[in-house]
Amino acid sequence: MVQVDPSEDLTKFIFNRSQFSPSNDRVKYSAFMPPPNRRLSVFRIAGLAENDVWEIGETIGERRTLPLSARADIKVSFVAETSLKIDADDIPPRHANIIDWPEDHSAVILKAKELARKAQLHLR
Amino acid sequence: MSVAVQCIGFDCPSFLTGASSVGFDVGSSNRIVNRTDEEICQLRERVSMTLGHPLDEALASLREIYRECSREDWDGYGAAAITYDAYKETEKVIKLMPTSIHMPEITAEPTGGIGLEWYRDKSQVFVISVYGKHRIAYAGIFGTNKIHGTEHLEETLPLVIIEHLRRLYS
Repeated sequence: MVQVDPSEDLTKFIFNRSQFSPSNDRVKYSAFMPPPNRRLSVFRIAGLAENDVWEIGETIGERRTLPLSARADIKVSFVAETSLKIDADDIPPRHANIIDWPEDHSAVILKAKELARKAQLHLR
Repeated sequence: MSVAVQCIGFDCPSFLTGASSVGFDVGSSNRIVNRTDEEICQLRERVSMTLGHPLDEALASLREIYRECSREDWDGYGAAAITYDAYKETEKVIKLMPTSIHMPEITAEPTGGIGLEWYRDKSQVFVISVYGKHRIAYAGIFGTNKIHGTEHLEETLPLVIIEHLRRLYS
């Protein structure tokens, strides 16, 4: 597994409006819950300009015919603090998955909540 | 004539409280119940038009989320569709909330559930998750304390959920 520097930033692109709250500038836990395959898709954005970061999200949105609504940035170190791991597969480039989620659903919610409260919301 | 009765804290009735039919024959009681329900609905609609009723807003938000997320891959990451059972059960949970409790923010979960989130600040937050399977998963952050668990859902909200909400707003 590729080692990811704890100081790096990751971002989760958000395509559903119910997963963030613009009125109080926060990301909701559901944006950080893994899908049924239990691999939460994120991108490593270290060294990228703001426009380049959005460009990645727009490309994904176009492929999936979903409008990009926002993104949530989080430090790798915060992911490690919640005892989750990062699998940097680089497919597509800069892509990674947050893995090692617990089996129990309520424990998954708590981990997602912990990530969400450390994340920074950026609106498109 | 109507009498205003103040309810305090978490002892308030839920939104789902219906009219009693005790003391009448079946036909009369059904008419009274139906008439009362109609009047309550009309009153709620009038209040909603002027003030914006939190319950109606929450139910409208829930309907919108179900409309958007009841198909596979609604989030672009392979999310499971939100089921009709999850939608109806969440509606029931919202209506079971004591009237004194703030209405939660509603969100779609990628595993097919619907989340209700009460957020005071980053260190005071409580979430319940509903899947239409008569179970409620919950998680909360109360300062440095973190809790999570699962409860069976029957005809009333599990007491532990009410207690955690009380803790959040105490």
